Amino acid sequence: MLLAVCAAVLVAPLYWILVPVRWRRPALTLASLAALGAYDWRLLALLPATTLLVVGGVRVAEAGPATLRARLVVAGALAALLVLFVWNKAGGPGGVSGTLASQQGLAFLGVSYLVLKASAVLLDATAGARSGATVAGVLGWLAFAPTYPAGPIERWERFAAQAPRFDRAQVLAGAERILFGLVKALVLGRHLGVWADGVLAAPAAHDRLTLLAGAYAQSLRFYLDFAGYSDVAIGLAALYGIRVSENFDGPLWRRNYVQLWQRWHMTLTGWLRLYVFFPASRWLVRRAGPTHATIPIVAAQIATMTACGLWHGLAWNFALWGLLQALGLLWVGVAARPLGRRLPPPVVRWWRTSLIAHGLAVWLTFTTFSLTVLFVVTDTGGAVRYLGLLAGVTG
Amino acid sequence: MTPEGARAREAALAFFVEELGASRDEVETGALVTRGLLDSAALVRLAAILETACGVTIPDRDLTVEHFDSLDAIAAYVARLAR
Repeated sequence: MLLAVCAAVLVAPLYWILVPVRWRRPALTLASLAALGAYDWRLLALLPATTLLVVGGVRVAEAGPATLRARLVVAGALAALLVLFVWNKAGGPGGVSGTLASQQGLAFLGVSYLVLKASAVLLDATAGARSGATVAGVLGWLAFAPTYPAGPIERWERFAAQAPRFDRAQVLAGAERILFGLVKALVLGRHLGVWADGVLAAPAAHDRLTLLAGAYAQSLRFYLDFAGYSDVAIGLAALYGIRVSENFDGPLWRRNYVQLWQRWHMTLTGWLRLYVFFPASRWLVRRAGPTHATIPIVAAQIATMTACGLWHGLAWNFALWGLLQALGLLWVGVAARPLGRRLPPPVVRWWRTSLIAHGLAVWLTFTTFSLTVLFVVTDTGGAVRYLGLLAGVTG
Repeated sequence: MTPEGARAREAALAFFVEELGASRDEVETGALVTRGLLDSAALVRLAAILETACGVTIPDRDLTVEHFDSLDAIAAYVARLAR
């Protein structure tokens, strides 16, 4: 990765000096395809094929969003994307991975992201949105190399509306962001991971305090690694004149699970909210009525976060991780509020305004999240054993 | 303010105070989404209440900070939708 980033940084001045304004988008598409094709030549077939699937589906849907033909075509395209996703997740070397896979462990680089981006445009088209999708435009968007391997999941309309123009401040900020991201992912995240993985590999050999520190280190590594790659992607895009959405906003120092998830992998949670949680929960609430909204919301939240877990990996531990995230969100959004109303008002006021309460809430949220992260860095049995040792239940 | 806007404001205020346990001052201050008072689950409930109270249909895409971050924004949005 470091080599590819260095090459992209070195080529950037030539791009701004030699490429005329109207050729910058096609140049970015060609350069992205060349970079991705050099990594895996099969992507040179997959990306144009996905582009044609998306543009074809969008054209049919835009011609008559409510027609049976449009629905069948879009459903077929979405089914094809789902098959690609499942095959990709299951088809890497060694089959289905039980832990968070690196992109190298998958059959195709970046397909999890590609599938979400492509589905969003198709779903928007069936909802009546006019996308103005063209083959060249969609190919450039889907293949855009900085965000292709690991996001952020940039929306089509936001990407398509941009024309790369030289802006010294943006370019310098981009270069700074790349450096910042590399330090986060390759220095801090990697070193923390080496230590935390040592604890994870032999939990019985460590005392409970070290096990707790190990769980904290795993979640910090998870964050540094992922947020670092997002920084690099955002920085590289800025270096070439494209603004990309932010993906993380200090999620690990928030006072509850809702605040954490509003700031963790924001482009993914935005996608899940818009295309899974809102349609599912609102469909159920409309049938149950606004006064009976709790059960529909609980069901939709569980479905959404389990889907989020399975998007990360098709294995039980990921589904369980997603379910635990749903429970954390439901605790804040559904259970804690009625509970708060039963507490004496001075206690509620203290909890909302005191600095000590804030610190306690942040610590509790971070600890809970860190303990659940064990389910994505090891399999279910390993995570349960680690938690048992941490709780002093198993020896 | 249109009758639909006023009705939406009143229904939203009642939801925040009675359902979410917020104080009137807290709600009137605004930044309802950005301060975390209105999360996704609460947003879905509020949208259902507004749809019933004001006879409008709120598209999923419109459940955004822009339309729901203050009582005034909610009232203006529902009034626009009802037109």
